[in-house]
Amino acid sequence: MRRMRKKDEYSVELENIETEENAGSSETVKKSRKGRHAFEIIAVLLIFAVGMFSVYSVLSFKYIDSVFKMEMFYEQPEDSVDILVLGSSHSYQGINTAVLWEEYGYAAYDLCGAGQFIWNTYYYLEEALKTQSPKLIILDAYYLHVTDDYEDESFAIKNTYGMKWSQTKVDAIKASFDSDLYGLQYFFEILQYHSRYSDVDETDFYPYQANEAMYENHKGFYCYFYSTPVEEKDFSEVDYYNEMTEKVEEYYAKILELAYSENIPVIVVGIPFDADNYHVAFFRTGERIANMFGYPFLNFLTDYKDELGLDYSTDFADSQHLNYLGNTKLTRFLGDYISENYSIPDRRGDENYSSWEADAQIYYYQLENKNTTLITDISEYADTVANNRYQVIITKNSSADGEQEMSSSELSEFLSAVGISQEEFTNGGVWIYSGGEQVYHNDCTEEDFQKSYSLSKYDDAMISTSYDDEGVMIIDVYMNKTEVTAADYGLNVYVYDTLTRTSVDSIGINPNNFALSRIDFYQ
Amino acid sequence: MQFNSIHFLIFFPAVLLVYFVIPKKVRYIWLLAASYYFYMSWNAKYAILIAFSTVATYLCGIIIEQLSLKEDNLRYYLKRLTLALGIISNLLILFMFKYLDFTIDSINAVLGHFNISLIENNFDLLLPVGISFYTFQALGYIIDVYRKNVNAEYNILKYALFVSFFPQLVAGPIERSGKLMKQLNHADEIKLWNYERIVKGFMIMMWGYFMKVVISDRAATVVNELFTNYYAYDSVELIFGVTLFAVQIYCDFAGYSTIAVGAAKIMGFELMDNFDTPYFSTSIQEFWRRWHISLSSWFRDYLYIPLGGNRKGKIRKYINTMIVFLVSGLWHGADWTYVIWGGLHGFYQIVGDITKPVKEKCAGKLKIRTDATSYKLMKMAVTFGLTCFAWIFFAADNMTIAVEYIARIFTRLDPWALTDGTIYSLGLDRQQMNILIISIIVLLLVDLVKYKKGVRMENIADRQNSWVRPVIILSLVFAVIVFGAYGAEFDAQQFIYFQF
Repeated sequence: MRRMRKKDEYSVELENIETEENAGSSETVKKSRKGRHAFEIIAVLLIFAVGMFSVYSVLSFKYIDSVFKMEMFYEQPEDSVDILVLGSSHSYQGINTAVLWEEYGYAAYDLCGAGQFIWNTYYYLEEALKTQSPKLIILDAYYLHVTDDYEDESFAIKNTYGMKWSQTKVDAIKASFDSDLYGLQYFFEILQYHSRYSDVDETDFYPYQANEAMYENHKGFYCYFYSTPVEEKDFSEVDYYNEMTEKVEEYYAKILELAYSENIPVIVVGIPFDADNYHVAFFRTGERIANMFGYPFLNFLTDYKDELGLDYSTDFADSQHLNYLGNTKLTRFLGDYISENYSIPDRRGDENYSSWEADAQIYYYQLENKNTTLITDISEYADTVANNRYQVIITKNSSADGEQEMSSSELSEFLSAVGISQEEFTNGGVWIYSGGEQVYHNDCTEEDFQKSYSLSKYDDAMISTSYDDEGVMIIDVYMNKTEVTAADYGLNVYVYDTLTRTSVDSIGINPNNFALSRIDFYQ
Repeated sequence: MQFNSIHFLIFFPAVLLVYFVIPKKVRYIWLLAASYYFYMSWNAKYAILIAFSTVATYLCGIIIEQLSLKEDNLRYYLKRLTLALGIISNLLILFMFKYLDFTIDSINAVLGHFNISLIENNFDLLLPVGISFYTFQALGYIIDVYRKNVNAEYNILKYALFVSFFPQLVAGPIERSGKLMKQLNHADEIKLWNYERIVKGFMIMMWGYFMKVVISDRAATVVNELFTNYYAYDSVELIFGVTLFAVQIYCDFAGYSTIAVGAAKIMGFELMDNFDTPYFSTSIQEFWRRWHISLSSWFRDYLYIPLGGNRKGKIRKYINTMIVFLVSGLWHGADWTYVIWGGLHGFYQIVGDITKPVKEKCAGKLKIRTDATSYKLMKMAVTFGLTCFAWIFFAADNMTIAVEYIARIFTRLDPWALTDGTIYSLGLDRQQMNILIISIIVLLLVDLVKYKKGVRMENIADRQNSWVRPVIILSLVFAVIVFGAYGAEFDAQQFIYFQF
């Protein structure tokens, strides 16, 4: 009863408010109420719009292996891309835009996507031609072998959601998603990305993958710097042709037709990977069709083996993709081939192409990082410490039995080059170098020594001391909570690259036998 | 199309847009067309069923009214015969599509025991959505006409709209002819541009979506896991599972009804409140006054009272109660688990009634204050516990699962699971579970305000500063958009009540 009464009182009161409002419903009151409503609606819609935009900016997909490449493509100046590379991950890891620039002066863009089926490649071409007039197209033939008419939802998302809205994107979505109910849900991208709130990170809040220096001039190429041996197979017995599915053939032909009608030469490439016979048979069919248009098909699984000189034991990152060694060989072959058969301008020195220069530079920095990890003689390491991109943390501990002394000719050479006296070194401690200059030194003798050091905007180092079972002090270095010291005792050198924002190398020299140990950050 | 589908997201604004601009006189025709489109989006053939049900009850209504104009014996019997035919034809449709399989299977199970050859089941009929809802609504209408509570409707299009009105077509609330038909009849008099009403309607819809996609669909992940792999879980998890099912089914069904109420309100129609904070009930009887109100009042008016209600003595009252709840169980689903669920609720009420004097005596002797909040809370807890126990039968796919589920609750005790983080490993990760818990707390607060103050969700901000309501609306909208369990990560859960 009590509750009922309350309810009644409330509604009576409400009615009173309403009647009061009605009682004063002269024209002015009506107008002011209308004005308030209009204000309320506009305010709500505005906040809604801002909110939706924030939701979109933070939660939308930013896959570096796909969506990001298309987004960056839109940033290229109109008609600047001379060589357009189209295809899957095989091509964006196989065709090295930095080498094409540095060694040939070619302005190439790898407009590719992970797991990109051939219909997506077609729509990418259609999209690219809206702003660019490439002088050559390099088309990756890998996905000619698929038998499904629709790719996985995740690949479909990766290869359509980076595009701007246009009829091309609508067609691409229709071709990619095996859809129910008019496929409507795939046109509302928020349906796919709204629940990403569980895995947002810095890349969702800062542009260019939260690493402007590295990615603001991105040309689609992505490189792995580690090796996985892959079995080299002999495909000479494959003398048959595999029939492509109707859809694959249709879109493959559409790509070639479109290029043909636009007078753009095409090179179709079968990039090496751990293939099987049936892949090769599909490549052969692809070759037959390409040749009908007068376009060459370079099948690197079967041909040009000697010219390419690929070493299957070192030149692959994994069974599917070439690494930095492999893609350099493939790219040099293609560079030579292009310079012999096509006239693509050398853009080096052209101010309008400075972004290609900058992007190539990034690759060569990464290459330099990789080469640092190949140094085995400590005396050669002084150049690394002097590199102005690097933050270097050197620590020196005693040996396991507490012995401080540690000297060799290579070590002395290194120490004098980096400006550490033998006496300082013997006492042990930590030295930090930034841009080649020593910026910090401490002998770490105070109790519970701790030093935090900012490596870059996003990464921090922590240096602290601990004691082993025998009570011998050990200096540990952490990068974002992960220990990065390679050896417990003796000398440790940790190298961080401020440009790529990655740990480059960490070596340790054992005080007793001077053996070198290393943390491999590339695997 | 479900309310939480893209399809509806386009359909509803489109219907509204036209509805707001067309001439007043044709509004009902537009709504009828929209309703049939809405229903046929599941399956175009369904339209035949609903049209048949509509025409049958439409004719019954007119015949009954015409026969009522003069009183004589022949007319009286003809009137009763017409009513009977109307009821039977509708129940027959319901039986054919909903209970035939179940009946044949049950007969076969019995025959099987006696080694008698089984009846061949050649029927493979898909249960049309919402059939239980609109047949009941149509039946209510002819009974009302028979009882002269309402006049028969002579405009078949208006009547067809009453049966098929899309917001409440597939999952209620089951409206009374007296209330909804009158509103539909006067659709041309509705002042459409009423700011307060439209905003409140929108707010109600958003609250319904919040219940459905943020709470119910998220809870479903855990509930499905526990009721599918019940054998891998112990007491605490299973109790947690059925408690969460109580939340899930409440948010699912009340969520749907709330969206329906909001959608209708935007168009200027007031549908009845189908749920009134049911889990705050202090007795099972009260629970049924607060849970699925439109159905329980339907059963009360059209089944319980005609059976004699409580006017024919205790025994008949108990029998009537039992009949109503067994039928209600069967209405919810063609399976013995639902019958048991209904039966349990009937049983609870009968036992509650029988033991009432004893309880009062005990309370008096022990000097327990029955007006204290603590006593009320205890009664709430007991009622909730009893409801949850019955939900096990409702949630389980078959009797074996239900029985095993209960057996494990009592035999596999694992109190440590309360504190060792087990609840975070039942299909939702820590973050998802936390979102679920926070949203349930929000639900609890909103329901508490409604229970204690009688203030409904859409009126919460009425006496606050003017910025409060926009903030609530925007918060709901973004909670639904971001935290809703839809799209790639979650499979859209069908509203549980659709199959009933």
